[in-house]
Amino acid sequence: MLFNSINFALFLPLVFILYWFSTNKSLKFQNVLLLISSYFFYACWDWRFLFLLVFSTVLDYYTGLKMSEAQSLKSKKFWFWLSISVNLGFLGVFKYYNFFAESFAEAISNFGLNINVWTLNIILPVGISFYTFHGLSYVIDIYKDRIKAEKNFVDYSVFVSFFPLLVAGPIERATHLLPQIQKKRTFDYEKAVEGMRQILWGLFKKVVIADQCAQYSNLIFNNTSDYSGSSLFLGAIFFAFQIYGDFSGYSDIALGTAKLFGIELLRNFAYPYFSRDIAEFWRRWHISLSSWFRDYLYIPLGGSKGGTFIKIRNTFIIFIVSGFWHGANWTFIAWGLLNALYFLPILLTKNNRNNLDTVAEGKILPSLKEIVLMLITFGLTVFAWIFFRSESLSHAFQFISGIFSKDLFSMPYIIAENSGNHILPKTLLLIIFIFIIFEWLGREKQFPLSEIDKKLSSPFRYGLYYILVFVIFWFGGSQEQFIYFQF
Amino acid sequence: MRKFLIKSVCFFIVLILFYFITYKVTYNKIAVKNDFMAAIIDKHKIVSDIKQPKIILAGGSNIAFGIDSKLIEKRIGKRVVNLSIHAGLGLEFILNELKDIAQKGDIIFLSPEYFLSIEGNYKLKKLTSSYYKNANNYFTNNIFEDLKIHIEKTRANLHEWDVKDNTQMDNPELDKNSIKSIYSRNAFNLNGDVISHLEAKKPKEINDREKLKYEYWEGIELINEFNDIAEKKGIKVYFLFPNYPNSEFQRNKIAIQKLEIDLKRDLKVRILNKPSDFVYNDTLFYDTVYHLDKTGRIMRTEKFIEIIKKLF
Repeated sequence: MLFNSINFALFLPLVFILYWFSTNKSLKFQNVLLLISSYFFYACWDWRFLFLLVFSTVLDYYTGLKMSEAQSLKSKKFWFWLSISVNLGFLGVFKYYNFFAESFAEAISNFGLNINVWTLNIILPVGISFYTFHGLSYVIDIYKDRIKAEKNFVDYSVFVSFFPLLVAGPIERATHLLPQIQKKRTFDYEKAVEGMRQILWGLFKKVVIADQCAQYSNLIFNNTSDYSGSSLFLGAIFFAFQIYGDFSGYSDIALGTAKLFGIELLRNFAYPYFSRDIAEFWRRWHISLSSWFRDYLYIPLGGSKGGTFIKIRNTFIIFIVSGFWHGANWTFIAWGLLNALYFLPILLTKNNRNNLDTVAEGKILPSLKEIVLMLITFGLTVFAWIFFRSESLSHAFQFISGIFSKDLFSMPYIIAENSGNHILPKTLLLIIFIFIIFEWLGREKQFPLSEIDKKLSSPFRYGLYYILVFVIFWFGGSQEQFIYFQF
Repeated sequence: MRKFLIKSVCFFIVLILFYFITYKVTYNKIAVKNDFMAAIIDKHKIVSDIKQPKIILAGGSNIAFGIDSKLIEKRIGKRVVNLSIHAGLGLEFILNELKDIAQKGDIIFLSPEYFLSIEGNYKLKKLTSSYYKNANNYFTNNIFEDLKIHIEKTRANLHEWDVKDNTQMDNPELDKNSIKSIYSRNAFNLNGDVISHLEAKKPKEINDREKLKYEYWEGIELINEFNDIAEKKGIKVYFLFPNYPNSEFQRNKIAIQKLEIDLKRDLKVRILNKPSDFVYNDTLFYDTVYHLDKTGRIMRTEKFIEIIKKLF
C-alpha cells in the first residue's frame, strides 16, 4: 500500500476514526489497533514477509528481556550477540548474499577460474533495512544500559512496526518513540492540522516533483549515450530533485500521518539543498540514518576523539557503511566514498561544525557568499548522486565523461519517447523553481506549510491547499514506487 | 476533535464537488463512441437482429482478427456472428456474454487463446460495460477498483480536455494505418469481424510473444459448466484451438501438448481440431501472435470451414 495510492486514502481515515472513536478510552486498545493496522499495511505488499517482521520483533523483544534479566555479563553478551547476528544475518541473506557471491565469482574469474555461484532468487522484503535498524538500536541501547527492556510486547511491536515508518523510516529510537507509545494520547487539534498540511506537502513533493523528475531522469540515465553534456547535466539535476522529493516527501507523509495519531516521529530532512557545506548537508539529509550511524557506529569507533587518522578512518567507515546500507552495489559504495572524500577537507581544517544554524536566518535573501557556498555544495551532491543512480560504475563514468564534453554549454534537451522530438520540459522546470521558492521561504520551519495559518488568511490558505490538491491530481496517476522502499 | 472533523469533512466535500464538476465539464469532450471495445454495442445489435438459429464465434481477438464470417455464411448457409473482441475480457466474461445472448438452436464455436485468463483485465471489462450496460452482468464488479478507474478517467479527461487529438478518433479515415484507426469501433464489419487491418501496413515485429507456462487450466471447468447450461437451452458448443505463429508454437509445444491432454481428458465439449491445424508462418501475422493478416485470415477461414463443414 503506497502512501500516494487510493488504498491508503481509504485506509488512513478508517484507522484514524477507529483510533479516536472506538479505542480512545483505552491506551491498550489503541496500541493493539495500531499494531493490527500496521501488520495489515505491511501485508498489503507481501503477506509472506510479515512472518519475517514478526520473527524479528519477537527475537529482539525476547533477547531484550533476557539481557535485562541476565545475571552475568557473559549471559548478557550471549543474548546481545544472538540478536545482532540473527538481525544482520537476515539482512545479509536477503540484501547482500547475491552481491557477495557474484563479486566473489567475478574476483575469482580474474585469476582464470570460473565458478558458478549459487544465488538466491528472492525479492528483498520491503523495509527490512529500516526495521532491522530499529531492532538493532533497541538491543544496543539495552546492552549499553541506556534503556530498560520493554515488557509489553504490543508496545514494543508498535515501536518496530508503526505503519507510517515501517517501510522507509524515519529510523526511530526506543528512547524517543516508546515513551510516546506508552503514554495516553489525547487529540491535539493543532497537531492534527499540522499533520494534514505535512501530508499534503509530502504528496506534492512525491507526486509532482519526484515522479515528474523521474520521467526525465530515467529517460536520460537509461539512454546516456543519446544525450549531450548539458542534457546529461540536466538529467543529474532532475535526479537530485527526484530523490529529494521522493524520500523527503515520503518522510513528510510519515511524520504527518503519525501526528494524526498524536505521535511525533524524528525529523528526517531539513532542507538539505540549502546547505553551505557537506557537513551541513549530512546534518540535514536522512537525519535519522545519519544520527543512527553517528551514535551506533561512529562514536563507538572513537568518533572525533583520538588522532587525525582515527577521525579520517571513522569518517570513511561510516560513509562506506552508509553507502552499503543503501544497496548491494558498488555504485552505492562509490557514492559513500565520494561523500567521505568531500568531508575530508572540512574535517582536517576543523570546519565541520561551522554551519549549525539555518542559512540566512531571519532574512529573505542569502548573501552572495551563501549563494556560492550553497551552489558548490549542491553541485558536489549532484555529482555524487550520479553514482547513486547509475546502474554500474562504468555507467557512472560514462555519464560523467558525457557531461564534460564539448556540448556541455549547448541547449539541453529530452528525447520524447513517442515522437523522438527534442523537447525541454519547461513546465517541470517552472514547477521546480516555484518549489525551491516555497522551500526557501519555509526553511526555518519543519516544512513550508507549517504554521501557515499565521502567515495567510483563510481564503488564501484554503486557496493554496486546493491548488496543491489540483496539481497533485493533475500530475498523479502513475503511482510510482518510493525509491527508498528498495533499501 | 469536533472542529477538526467538521473542517476536514467540509474541505473534502468542496473537493468532491470540484471533482464532480471537473468530471462533468470534461466528460462530454472525450470521444468515447468510437473506442474498440464499444463494438460490443454493434455486436449485440447484430445478434438481436437475427431471429433464426445462428452460428456464434467466440473467443479473444484471434477470432476477431482471424476469421472471415461472411465466407463461412456463404459456404455453410447459416447466419454467422463474430462476437469476439478482446482476450483481455477473460473467459468468464466471454461465457457469461454467451449465456446472455445465445438462443435455442444456436451453434457456438469457442476458440479461446491458450491459457486464457479467467478473470481478464478489470479495467477493460469496466470500460466495455461503460459502453454496454448489460455487460456489467458478465463479471463481478468491484467498487474499490471502480473508484480508482473513475479517478483515472477523470484525470485523463482533464488532460485531454482541449486537446484536438480526439478528432482523429472520430475520423479514422485520417490515417488508415494508425493504431487508433485499426483499433476502433469502425474496425468491424457487419458480421463482427475486424477488417481494419486487412489493407493496413504491417508493423515490423509481432508483439505479445511469450513463453507459455503450463499449469492446469481452470477454464476447462468453466467451459463445462457453461456447456451444461447451453445443453439445457438447446445450444450446441464446440471447442477449437486458436491460430498461432509457427515460431511460438515450436517454443511452447510442450505446454500446448499438456493443455491438449487435459482438454481431451476433462472437457465435456467436443474439440474439433488439433493445435497444429491453425499454426501459420510468422509472416502471416499482423501485429501480435494472435492477429492474422489478410492472407492468414483467408487460410484460417478455409481450414475452419473444412473442419466445421462435417457438422452440417
